Amino acid sequence: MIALDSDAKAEIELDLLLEAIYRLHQQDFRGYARSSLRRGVARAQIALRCETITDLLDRIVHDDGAFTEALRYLTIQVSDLFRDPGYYRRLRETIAPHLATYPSLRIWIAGCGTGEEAYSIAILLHEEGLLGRSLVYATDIDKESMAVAQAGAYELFRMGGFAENYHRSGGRAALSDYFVARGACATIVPFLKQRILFCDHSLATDAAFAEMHLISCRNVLIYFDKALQDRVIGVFRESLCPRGFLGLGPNESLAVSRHASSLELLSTNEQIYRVK
Amino acid sequence: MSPGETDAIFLVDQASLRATHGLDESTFDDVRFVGAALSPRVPELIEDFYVWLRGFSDFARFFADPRMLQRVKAQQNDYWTDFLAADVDDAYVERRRVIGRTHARIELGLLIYLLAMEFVSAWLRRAIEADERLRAKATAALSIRKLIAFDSAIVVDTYGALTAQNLDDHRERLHHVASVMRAVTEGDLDHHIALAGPGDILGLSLNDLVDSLRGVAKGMETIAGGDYSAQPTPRSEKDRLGKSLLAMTDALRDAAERNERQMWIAETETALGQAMSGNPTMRELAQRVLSLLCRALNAQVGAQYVAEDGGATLRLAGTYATTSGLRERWRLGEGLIGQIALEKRRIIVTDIPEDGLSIHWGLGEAPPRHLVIFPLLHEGETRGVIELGALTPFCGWRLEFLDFVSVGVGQAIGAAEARARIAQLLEEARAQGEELTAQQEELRQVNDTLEEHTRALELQQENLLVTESALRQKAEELERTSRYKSEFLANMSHELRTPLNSSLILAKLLVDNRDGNLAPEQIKYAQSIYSAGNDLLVLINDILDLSKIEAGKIELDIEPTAVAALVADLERRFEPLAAERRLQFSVVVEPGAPETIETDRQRLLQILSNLLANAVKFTERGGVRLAVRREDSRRLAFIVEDTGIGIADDQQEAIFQVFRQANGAINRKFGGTGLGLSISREFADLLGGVLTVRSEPGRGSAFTLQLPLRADGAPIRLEPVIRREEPPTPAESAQTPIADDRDALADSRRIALIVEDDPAFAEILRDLARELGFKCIVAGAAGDALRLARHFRPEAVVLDIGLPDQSGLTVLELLKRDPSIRHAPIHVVSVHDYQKVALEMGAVGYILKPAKREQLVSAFRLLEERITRDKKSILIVEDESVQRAALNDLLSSAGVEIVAVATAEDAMREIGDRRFDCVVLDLMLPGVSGFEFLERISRDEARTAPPVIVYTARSLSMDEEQKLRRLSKSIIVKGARSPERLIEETTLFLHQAESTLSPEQQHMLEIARSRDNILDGRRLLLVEDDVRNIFSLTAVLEREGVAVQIARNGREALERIDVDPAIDLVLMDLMMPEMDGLTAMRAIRAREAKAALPIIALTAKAMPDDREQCLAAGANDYISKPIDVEKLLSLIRVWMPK
Repeated sequence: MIALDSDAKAEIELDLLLEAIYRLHQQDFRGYARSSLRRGVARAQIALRCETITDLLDRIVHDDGAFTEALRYLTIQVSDLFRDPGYYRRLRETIAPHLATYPSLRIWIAGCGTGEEAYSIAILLHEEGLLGRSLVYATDIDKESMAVAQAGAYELFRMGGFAENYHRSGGRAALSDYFVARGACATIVPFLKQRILFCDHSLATDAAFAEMHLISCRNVLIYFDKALQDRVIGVFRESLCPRGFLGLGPNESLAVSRHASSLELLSTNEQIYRVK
Repeated sequence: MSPGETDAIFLVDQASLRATHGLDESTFDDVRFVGAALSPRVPELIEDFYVWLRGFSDFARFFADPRMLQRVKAQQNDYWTDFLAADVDDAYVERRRVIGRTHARIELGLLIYLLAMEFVSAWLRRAIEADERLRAKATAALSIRKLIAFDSAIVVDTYGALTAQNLDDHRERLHHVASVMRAVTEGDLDHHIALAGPGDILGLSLNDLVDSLRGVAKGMETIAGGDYSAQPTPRSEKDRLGKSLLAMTDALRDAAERNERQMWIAETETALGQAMSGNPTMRELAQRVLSLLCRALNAQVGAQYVAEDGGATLRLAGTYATTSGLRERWRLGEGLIGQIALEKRRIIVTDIPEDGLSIHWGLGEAPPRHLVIFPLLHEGETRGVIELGALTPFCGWRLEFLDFVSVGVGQAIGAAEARARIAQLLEEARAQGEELTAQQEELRQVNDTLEEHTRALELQQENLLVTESALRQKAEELERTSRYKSEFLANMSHELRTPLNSSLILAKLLVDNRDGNLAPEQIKYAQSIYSAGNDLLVLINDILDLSKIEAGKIELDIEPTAVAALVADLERRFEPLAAERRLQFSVVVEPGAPETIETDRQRLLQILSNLLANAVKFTERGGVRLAVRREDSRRLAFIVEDTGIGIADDQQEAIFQVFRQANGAINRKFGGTGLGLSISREFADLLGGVLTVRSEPGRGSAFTLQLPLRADGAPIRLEPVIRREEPPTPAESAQTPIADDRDALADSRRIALIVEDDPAFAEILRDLARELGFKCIVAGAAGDALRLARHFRPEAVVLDIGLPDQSGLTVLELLKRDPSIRHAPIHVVSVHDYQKVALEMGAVGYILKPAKREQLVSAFRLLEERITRDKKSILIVEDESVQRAALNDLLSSAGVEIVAVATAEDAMREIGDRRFDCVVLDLMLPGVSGFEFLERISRDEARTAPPVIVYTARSLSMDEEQKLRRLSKSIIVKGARSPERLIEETTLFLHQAESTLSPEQQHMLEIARSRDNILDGRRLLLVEDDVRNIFSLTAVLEREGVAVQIARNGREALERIDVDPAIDLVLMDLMMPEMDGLTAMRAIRAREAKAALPIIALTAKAMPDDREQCLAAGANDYISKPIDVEKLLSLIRVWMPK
């Protein structure tokens, strides 16, 4: 037997865990960035009181509830309405006029999480008079998040921050116009939901499914390793119509991607690309 | 039937009867004779008769009633008196008939009559014999007998007739009675029998029976109805039915009462149970219990107290129908409430004085007359007290129930208290839990945010690493290139110097004019040649030095060098030059400076010479000074100062860079290569020293060279081996192997670029091109081709696909993307069949090698045609004049002809007349609409419709868009950014290649391709919302002869399937708006008729369970996106019903 240090063993354990999750739940984390995964798994270990990753593996294999619990720590959900207002301002001011030249629009929010981005885009499209001819595909792998997204209900205390973002993004109305307060939550008004299609789609394993005019995928790629990033951008590239737009998170870039040459960067600050 | 009418059946008349019996007057006389004697003895006769008669069994039956006997005796008396009178006439006969009838009616047997007649006959005979006088009359007895026989005959006859009649009547009546009886037996009590007469005992009895039964039935019904109050009276002692009924009624009444009580108890228990169930609070419990008890016990007010403080006090927990003013608390033992709590026993109070609590109702109030107060016990402890008040006395047995209530409610109170405590604890726990969850969630969010930041940083780092390594690579590459360049220069300088040397020598010879045969003018020329040659040599030397340094080829010769000798040498060289420019020149070796320095003397001299030469050159007045000073223990400084023009701060670094000087003009004014300072700094560097400058424009400059006293012997950089590491780049290496016309291009008209790596074939193409009047440029590789294309801007391109460095398709794409050359038609000639791709990418034609000469000629002709058709034309159809003009301006550019019309009719005329490369169409047109226009031009068989760009301000419905997409190439909605897109799209169409095949040819080709007819004519429903897939799949399928219908979501699919039963197969996308594919498939399978309809699911999802889901929802098979057309076709073939 080869003597391994504990780090090497932990790597093996992590591999086994990811393989088990993939085969049991069809959630493919194998192409996710290892460093981030290691931290996520460590947090899950604490939350589920598991001494080792193997203990966690044991729990996850034999207890579906444990998987759901652990999944919360493996996927990162940070989102606000109009998060990074500059991005939405750029979409509104620069990209929307281009989108307006198409008779019908398809927009893909890849990794929609709990729906904030999808609704931000829907509000933006509505204000630009484009929502009626748009279809927004909002996809994610986490079914629980998707359920939250579909409900479109957010804690009231978050609304203040949302509203500030909204105005900084160039919002012209009152954000509260788009919400109905119910109890401790504000629920998005139904007409904004009508053009959004929430679907289960895994960027790690699934393919392109429709031609898109705009794909917004923010703070998703950062959790992927290089190979998976390339795969995902390939899927995006395949989905985008000629001269279509791709928006990424502020810390994401195509600079080192295999597909860098087929997309041009429109705005350094906002990481918005356009098919050459 | 009245009696008498038919009561003589046999007798015709009494006369004939008399004759029959031999009666005559003598007979009658005899009888009268006897009668005269015996009539007074008739009563005796009767008495004798009855003595005799008592022996008969029926006697009692007839004569139960003594009055009856009396009446019969009287009748018999009359009869025999009448007989003895022997007055036989019709009346006599009639009287006998009456006897007969009576007998018949009372059903007295005839035998008894006949016996009676016999008795009388015997009695009379004895009486005659006992009387002398009568005895004398010999015929008397016989006559008596005769008359008796006559009487008997009449009676028997009447009796017989009547009995027969009676029998009939009886039978009928019996029948009737029987039927009524049967009805009664069957339970039908509705019938009475009509009485035959007051003496119809049978009828009466029957009716009585019916009545009696009816009475019983009615009684039973009443009882059955739950009314036990009726007390049925038995009809007699013997009325067993009546008695039973009574007993039953009593028993039932008891049972019902017992039942009712039990029921009441059960119901009340249940109700109490229900009232206490569902975890009520204490107040709810009290309200419910009181409400229930008041109703159950017919009480009108109630109050419930609950024990508190361990039973020390009783607190009011709930009331029923009371108004305010009830005391809230009682101490244990205080008042009745407290007392009962203490005693734990029930108390009933009646006749309460009127000044207490009142019962209130809408119309008034009254004090309760009766009270019951009872404890609520749990585990032997008083948990509460209930008080109920009523206007009427409490029902005794119901009060017993309170014992049950006492314990039940007591327990419930115990439970409610426990529950309240638990609820409170739970609430606390829940609040804590919530708090925890919230904190956890907050923590998780903070964690997530942190994670995002961390990961972002990591990613940046990763990207930085990648960038860094890319940069390093780039830098290495650059360095390598630069080194190659330097090597090249180093080599070149040598090559240059050799011939230059000889010219300098020869020029010098001429200047010397040894033979004296040159004119002064000629000598001057030779001097110029010499001078220029020298300048050139200096330059070359400089370049050589520099490139040597850069190439790392400088070798140092480190040796001890005497400083004094060195500066003296320099002074000797520059003193005259300075003097010539009237400048002071001084050299100072400061005290403390070492005598020698270990360095490369030659290089040091070179540096200082350069600095001094510059100083002299750039100084107009003042002086130049060289100072040598010991800097520190290890370094020596050489300082060259001047009072020249100086150098601005921002230029001070630039002067050291190769080929740069402070001012280009200066260079020209003062001559020099501009390489000197660069070289000096490089040498200083090599010697382990530093060369710096201080300067002020207009005041002069000071260059300081600091050198180590002892330079490292080893060269600072390694001597590189000159070798070619890199493969030659195509652009450089692919030397055109064949001659072309690149040097003989008069103008750029009719230039053909031939991209072909096979020299022989390239030559053929070149010759052919020349033949057809093209100037030719030949490129053997992709890199070359692109470079040459950009440089020469050819009019046409002949392109091979298989090139040594890159695919010809790449060249095609890059050329088509370059606006400066994209218009040039490109014809592909290749062994590879990429016809479709190439044509799609914009090639005008495609020939497969090996190609015949004629094919090549026609290829060039095609190119020619495209070039000559250089005026591209656009048709603008826009009714609004300002818009039309604006579009005209927007699209007009060199080489584009624009025709603008206002109506579709005009547009069609234009299209009929000539060919357009592109049509820009507004949809809203007067007259024929844009839609109609599109329909018409696409239907036109005669010519291929030009690509149409729909440019509209109108918003389009899904259907309209779908329809337009079929008929047009592009749809642009007017808006801020639409002009930009319009230009992009028109440019694309203007230069896009069209298929070289005519529509007919294309059609034939399609037919030839569709090899299998299993798909031909089949009906397929494509359910898909991705426009690209719709068009590509439709195209593929239609080529196979499949009639394709489109549905854009599940709902539309269902509609189609319901409308069109002839659909053979369905291709079903999964992610669609309105209704997704899985739902749609389930709905299809739910239709019985569609159970066997083949469905193939199209999905972007890749997991095994996705496939499971498809199949579970009813798909027959499944294919993943992106769709492999061949695979799809074979799947369709597999599933298509045969």
